[in-house]
Amino acid sequence: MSKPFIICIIDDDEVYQFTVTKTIQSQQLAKKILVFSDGEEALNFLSANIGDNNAVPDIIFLDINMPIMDGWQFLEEYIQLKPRIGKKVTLYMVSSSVDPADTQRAKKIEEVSDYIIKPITPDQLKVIVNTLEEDASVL
Amino acid sequence: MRSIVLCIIVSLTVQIGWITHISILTTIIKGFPPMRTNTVICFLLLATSLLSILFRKFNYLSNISLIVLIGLNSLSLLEPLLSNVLGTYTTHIPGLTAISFLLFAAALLFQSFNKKLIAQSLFHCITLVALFASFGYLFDIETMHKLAFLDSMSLHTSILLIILSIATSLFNPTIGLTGLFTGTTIGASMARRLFPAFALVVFSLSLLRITAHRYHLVSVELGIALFALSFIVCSLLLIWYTSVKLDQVEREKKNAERKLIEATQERLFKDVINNTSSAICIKNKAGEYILCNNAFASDFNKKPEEIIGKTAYDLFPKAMAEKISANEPKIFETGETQVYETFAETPLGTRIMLTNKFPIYDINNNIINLGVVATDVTRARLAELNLKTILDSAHVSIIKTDIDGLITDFNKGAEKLLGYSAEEMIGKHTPEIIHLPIEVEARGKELSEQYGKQISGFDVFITPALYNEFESRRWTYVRKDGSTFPIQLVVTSIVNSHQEVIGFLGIGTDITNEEMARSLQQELAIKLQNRNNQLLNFAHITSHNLRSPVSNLVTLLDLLEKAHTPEEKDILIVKFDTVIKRLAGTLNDLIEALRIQEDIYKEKENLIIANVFANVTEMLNVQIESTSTTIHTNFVATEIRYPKVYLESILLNIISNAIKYRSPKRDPVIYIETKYDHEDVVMTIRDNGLGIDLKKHGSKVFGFNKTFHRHPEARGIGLFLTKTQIESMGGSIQIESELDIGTTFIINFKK
Repeated sequence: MSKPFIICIIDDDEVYQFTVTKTIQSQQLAKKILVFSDGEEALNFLSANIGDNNAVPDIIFLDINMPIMDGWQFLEEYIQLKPRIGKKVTLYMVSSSVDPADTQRAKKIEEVSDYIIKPITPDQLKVIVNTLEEDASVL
Repeated sequence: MRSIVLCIIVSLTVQIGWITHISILTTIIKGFPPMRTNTVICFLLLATSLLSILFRKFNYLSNISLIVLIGLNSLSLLEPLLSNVLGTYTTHIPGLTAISFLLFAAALLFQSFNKKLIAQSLFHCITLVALFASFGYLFDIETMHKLAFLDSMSLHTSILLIILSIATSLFNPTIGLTGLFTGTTIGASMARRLFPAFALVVFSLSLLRITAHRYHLVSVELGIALFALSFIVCSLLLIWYTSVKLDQVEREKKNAERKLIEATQERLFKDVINNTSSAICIKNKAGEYILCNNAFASDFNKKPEEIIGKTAYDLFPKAMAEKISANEPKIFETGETQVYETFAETPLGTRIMLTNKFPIYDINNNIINLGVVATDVTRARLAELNLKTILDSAHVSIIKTDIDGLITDFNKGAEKLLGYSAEEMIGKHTPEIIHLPIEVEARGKELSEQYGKQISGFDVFITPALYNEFESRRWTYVRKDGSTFPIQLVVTSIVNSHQEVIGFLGIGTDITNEEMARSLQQELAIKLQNRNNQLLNFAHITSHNLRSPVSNLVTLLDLLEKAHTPEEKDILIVKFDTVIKRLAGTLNDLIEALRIQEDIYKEKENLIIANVFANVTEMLNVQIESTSTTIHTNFVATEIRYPKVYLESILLNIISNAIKYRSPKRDPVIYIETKYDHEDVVMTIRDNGLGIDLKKHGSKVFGFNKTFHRHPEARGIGLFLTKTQIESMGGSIQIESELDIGTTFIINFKK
């Protein structure tokens, strides 16, 4: 039986989308996986489903470099939106950038739980989901 | 005062005589007419009036006395006419006396009314009348003291009247004849000296002549001749005596004047020579100093007294003394003036002295002495030396002008820098000839605004200096051959001792080298900055664009290992293919960018922009046709020196972008124009497409693999390469854009 979470992937890289989806599915880490190719698409979905806890994801994996609306721009909008989301959402920045400027910037944003450098391994995914599950059960 | 007292005494004496009938008291000389009682009363009245005038009291008393006096005398004079009516008036005043008293009274009245000139004339008349009478007595001529129609005046009356009239005329000591005798001028003193003598001589001679005549000692003719002759002789003697006296006086006066002038001149001479900074001395033939001023003495740390009477050999070491006096014998010999500069060892150190030695002559034109004037010109000479060094310096142009801007000085540096000779410039041109008119005009506009008045032409250079503002400014000088160079110019005003501006000084330094160094430095800085940006970009590209596919490969491999079914594996292989292809593409792009950056020396060609544009539109023919794109061109700058491939690539990228990101709402229209900015060609490409939100994406427009539209062909490489190409040739590209309105690219192709 899969974990009771909705996981959202925001990334323009199709291959990455494919591999992460595959990994989550194979380990049964989510009950639902949402995939968006840029920040704008994801934001549109969130805005549309803001009150619906069955639609809003529990975990977001956010890429930085994307066309149209990149990860940073998405974060700005997301911070505005977050108070209206009636649900705990954990957000991870996931990028292939090893530029310290990016990691530093990410750490300054409260809403970002961690910064993960690609590739994200199946083990990392499992730990993240399990931690979240434990936190939820404590509550 | 005394004369008045005398008058009173005599009058009283006569009155006592009348009362006591002692005839001696009334007539003095037997047989002469006596003074009458009435006359005595008149004298007393006169005396009263005079006394009150003298003491400035009882003016009314004086006036009453005078009126009574006039009344009495008028009555006496009119007596002959009135006798028929009134009967004979026995003790009347004699006619001449009465006239005198009337005149006297009138004179005093005039005096009291301050009509001094008239009063004085009247006093003199009285003296004359009384003299007339007394002369009659003296010469014993009756008609003189007793005119036919008048009674005679007594002797003592006449004498008293003479004394009184002269005394009263002293009331106005400066007017009339009195003035002549009381004055302090040489004329007055002469008159005082001469008159009594003349009077005495004439009187004695006349008496002699009359006496001789009376006793018939000589005939009338002889008497007159003798009188005339003796008068001439006596007057000659008197005139001779007077002229001798006058000559003496004049001599004394001249002497005194000369002494005064000499004293003044000597004082002046001393003041002048002692207050001048030049050393001055006079030496005699023996070489002794006979005069020296303070400056001369202090140059040798001595006092003038210690020097005078000594020779140079007494005062200075032998060598110095010889040097000092070497040229002196020649001056004494030839009378030639010598002017020269010499070094002098003084207690103050070595000085440069401008020395002037000249002969001094006596009245007979013999050289008796030698004058020396030596001026310390050390500072001036040193300053000149320094100034000359500066003035002749090659890289500094120093130009002096008069107040109107006409060049008055043009140094060697200016000649070298500008190619004009001093003769061509001095008095003929203003500095405007060596300036760029366009710069002068522009600066004129600035200054006109700053000072609120029209400033143009030469005034542009000097206005700040006139306002006492220091200005060091970069200008462009124009050489005679028309070439230009940059100069740093400082202009100051030249003022005279009255603080009036009399001209201007412009000191300019050639800053060609500095300018070149600066522009090279700037160019280098820009290049380095560009290069640095590119390197940063590369770091970013490698970290992101290469790592990303590699991490994908790693993940895919991991999945492949875990794959169970051939179908699963097949899907993964397809993914592998996608990632590897993309990786290869990225690598190719990077290699292309690197190649561009290495191609700094990419060959430039002379290109006709319209031709290159035609090639590009041909390549894009299909897209243009299929999208109904219109392209308007305006190539003001028609040609450019640029690598052909780059220019094609740049145009291709931007035009294809404009088509690719066209607005679905309208047919694409593209405007392309070129123009010159200074020497650079600037190209502007404007479209009416989707536009980019520069607020969001401004920093990433030209980035590697950055895309801003969900377009299937967007790879995010075109603008990156375009920018790389332009910058590798030293140019720049800017973007202006507004969402849904369009985008404009401005490209500056550096020359």
